[in-house]
Amino acid sequence: MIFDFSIVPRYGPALLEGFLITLFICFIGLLLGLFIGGLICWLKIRFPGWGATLANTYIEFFRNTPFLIQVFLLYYVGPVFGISISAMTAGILGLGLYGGAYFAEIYRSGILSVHKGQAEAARALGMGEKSILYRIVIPQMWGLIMAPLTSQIITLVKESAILSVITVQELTFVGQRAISETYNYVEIYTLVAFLYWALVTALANLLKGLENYSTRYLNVRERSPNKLIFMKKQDVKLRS
Amino acid sequence: MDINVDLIIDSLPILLKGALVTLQMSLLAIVIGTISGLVLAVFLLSGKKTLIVPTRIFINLLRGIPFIIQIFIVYFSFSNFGLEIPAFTSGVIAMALNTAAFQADIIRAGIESIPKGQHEAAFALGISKRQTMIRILIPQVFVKILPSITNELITLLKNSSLVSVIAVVDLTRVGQQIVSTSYRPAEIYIAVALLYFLMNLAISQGSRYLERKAAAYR
Amino acid sequence: MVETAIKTQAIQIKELRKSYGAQEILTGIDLNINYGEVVCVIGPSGSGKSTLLRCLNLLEVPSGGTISVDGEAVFSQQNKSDNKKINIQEIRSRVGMVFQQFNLWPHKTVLNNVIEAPLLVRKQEKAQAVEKAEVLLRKVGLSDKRSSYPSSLSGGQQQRVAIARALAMDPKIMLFDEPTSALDPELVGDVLKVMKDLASEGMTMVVVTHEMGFARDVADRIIFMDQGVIVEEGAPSELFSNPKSARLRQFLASVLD
Ligand SMILES: Nc1ncnc2c1ncn2[C@@H]1O[C@H](COP(=O)(O)OP(=O)(O)OP(=O)(O)O)[C@@H](O)[C@H]1O
Ligand SMILES: [Mg+2]
Repeated sequence: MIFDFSIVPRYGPALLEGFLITLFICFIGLLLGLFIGGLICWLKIRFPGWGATLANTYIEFFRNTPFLIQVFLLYYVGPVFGISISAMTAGILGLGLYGGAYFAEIYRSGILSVHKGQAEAARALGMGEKSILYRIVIPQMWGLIMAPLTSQIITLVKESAILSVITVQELTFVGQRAISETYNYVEIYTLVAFLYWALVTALANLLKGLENYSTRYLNVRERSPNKLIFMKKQDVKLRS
Repeated sequence: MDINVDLIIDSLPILLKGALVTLQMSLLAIVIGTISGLVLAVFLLSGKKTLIVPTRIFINLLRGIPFIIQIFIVYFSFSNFGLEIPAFTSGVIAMALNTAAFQADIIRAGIESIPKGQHEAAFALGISKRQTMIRILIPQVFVKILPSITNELITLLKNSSLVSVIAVVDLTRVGQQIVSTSYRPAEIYIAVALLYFLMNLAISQGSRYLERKAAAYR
Repeated sequence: MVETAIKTQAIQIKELRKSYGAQEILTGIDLNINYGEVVCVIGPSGSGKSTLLRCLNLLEVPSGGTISVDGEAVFSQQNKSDNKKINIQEIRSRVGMVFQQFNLWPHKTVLNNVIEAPLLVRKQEKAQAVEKAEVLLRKVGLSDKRSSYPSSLSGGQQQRVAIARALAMDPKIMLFDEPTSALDPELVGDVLKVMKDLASEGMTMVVVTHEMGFARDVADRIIFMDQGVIVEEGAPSELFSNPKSARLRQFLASVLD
C-alpha cells in the first residue's frame, strides 16, 4: 500500500474548499450556539418556574438524542410543514441548537461558581441585580468556564462532519465524493482526518490562549482550570 | 398536517428491533472500550517512553478526528486487507476505540487518585503486584469512574447512530428505511428521537442506582 | 405609617428578629447608635454578629422588628407594605460594608474597583470619580497600586482597597465584619490604622471584631452578643474591667488569655 501523492494536487483544491465550508458553518454555528446557550441559561435563571422547566426540556432533548437525528428533524421535517431550508441552513441551525443546550449548562455552572461574596460586595454598594450580573458575575464567569467551553467547542467542530449526511458540501462530504470517484480512500481519509485534526488542535491552542487571557488578572496559581461547581454529575458533559 | 399515529404504532416493532441493535452495539462497545481504556491508562502510567508516546499519539488522534471519519476508516481498513467483516463489527470496533481514547485519561486519573498506601498495604500482605491491580485497585477505580462511564455510554449510544452510514441496521437506519417508503419523516424521526431519549434515560437512571449501591460499599 | 426616626440617631433597631427556617438566629435585638459613634460588636462564633450587621443593609431580610438607618426606615414588620416602597439600593449606597474576605472584584483593577459603584449607582462623571478614588487610595496608603489587580496585592492591601471602595460612596455609616480575621498578623496593623483614622474623623462605625485591643482603644461602646441577643453593653473600660454576666467573663477569659 503506497500513499498516492498525486491525490494531493488532484483533490487538494476541492478538499480545501470543503475545509473552508467546514470553517464557515462551524463559526456561524458556534456563534449561534453561544447565543442560544445564553438565552436558555437566562430563561432558566430568570424564570425559575416555567422558564427552568422549558429550558431543561430543551437541554435534555438536545443532549440525549443523536445530533444526526436532530439534523434529520430539521432538514426533512420542515418541508412537510411547508418550510424548506437548505442543507447548509439546517446544518448551521442544527449546530447552534445542539451547542446551545450544552453552552447553557456551562454558563450556568460558571455563574453559580463565581464566589457569592462578589455579588454581595456589589449589593452592599447599592448596585442593582442587573449590573451585578453583567458587570461583576458574567465577566468572571468566562475565566471559569473556558476549559469546559473549549471541549464543547471542539466537539461541535467534530460533529459538523455529520452534516455530510444531509449533503452539506463540507470537508467530509467532499472527501466522500472524491473517494466515490477514485477509490483512493487511504489517501483521502488521511488528508481529511489530518485537516480536522489540525483544525481541532489549532482551536484548542487558540482557546487555551483565550483562557489565559480571560484569567489574566489572577495569579498563576489561582488559574487552575477547574474551579467550577457542577450541580449534577451530568450537568456539564465535556463531550457530545 | 395531521400526525399519523397508526404509522408510528405499526412501525414500532421494527423500530424497537433497530433500538435493540443500537443498544447491543453500545453495550458491547462500552465493555470493550473501557477495558481498552484501562490498558491505555496502564500504558500511560508505565513510565516507559516507548509505551507512553504512541499511546498519547493514538489518544490525541482519536480525540481530534470526527467519529464519522473514524467509522469510515475502520470499515475501509478491514476491506483493504481483504477481511470480510460485518458492518456491525466494524461499528463496534470504531465505537470501542473512540471511547477508549476518551476514557484512558479518566481511568488514569482514577488510578492515580487511589492513595499509595493501599498498594503498599497489599504488597506487605504478600499479594502480588498483578493481584493488587486486579483485586484492590480496579474495583475502586471502577467505582470512581462510574459516572464518567455513564457519560461515555450515553455518548456512545448517540454516536452509534452514525454506524447507519456503513449500513448497520440500527435504530437510525431503520428509521431512514421507514421514511423512504412512507414519506413521513416527522412521525418517524420524532419516534426515533424519543427512543434514543428513553434509552439514555434508562442508562442514567440505571447508573444512578449503581452509584447508590457502590456508595454503600464505601 | 413608618415611624420617623429621630435624625440624631444613625441606626435604630427595635426587636430585630431573624430566623433561618425554624432556627432563630437573632431573638430580639434593641440597639440605637448615634452619629459619630464607634460601636464594636464582640461575641462567640455563631452568636449572630454577622447576621445583625447584614440585616442593617438588608443583605439579609429580617424576620421581624424594625430598623431605621440614617433616619429612614429600612425594615418594618408592622407595615409590610412599606417594605416594598423602601429603596434598598439607595439605603445600601449610604451604608458602606467591609467583609472578612475583602470581596474585591478580581477582574477589575484597584482603581476600577473603587470607581465602579460611584459611576454606576451615583452616576458620577468618570473624572470626578477617579479624582475621589485617588484621594481615598492615598488615604489608605495605596496610591501606587491604582493600576494593579487585586490578586497582586497582599491581604492587608486588599482590605484597605475594600475600605476605599466603600468610602467612595460617601457613606454615612460603615459596617465592618471581622475585617482583619483573614489577615496574617503582621498585616493587621495597617488595616486597623486606617480604621482608627476613620473613627477619629467622626465616621459612624459598627465593627464586628476579635481585636480586643482595637475595641478597647477605639470603640465608644462595646456590644457583647451571645445566642442571638445582646447580653451586655457599655463603654470599653467598664465592660472589660468589670464584666457583669458570667457569659461575658467566660468569653473574655477565652479571648484574652
Ligand atoms: N444563610 C444561612 N442559613 C442558615 N443558617 C445560617 C445562615 N447564615 C448564618 N446562619 C447561622 O446563623 C448563626 C449565626 O451566624 P453568624 O454568621 O451571624 O454568626 P457570627 O456571630 O458572625 O459568627 P462568626 O464569629 O463565626 O462569624 C450560625 O449558627 C450560622 O450557622
Ligand atoms: Mg461572622
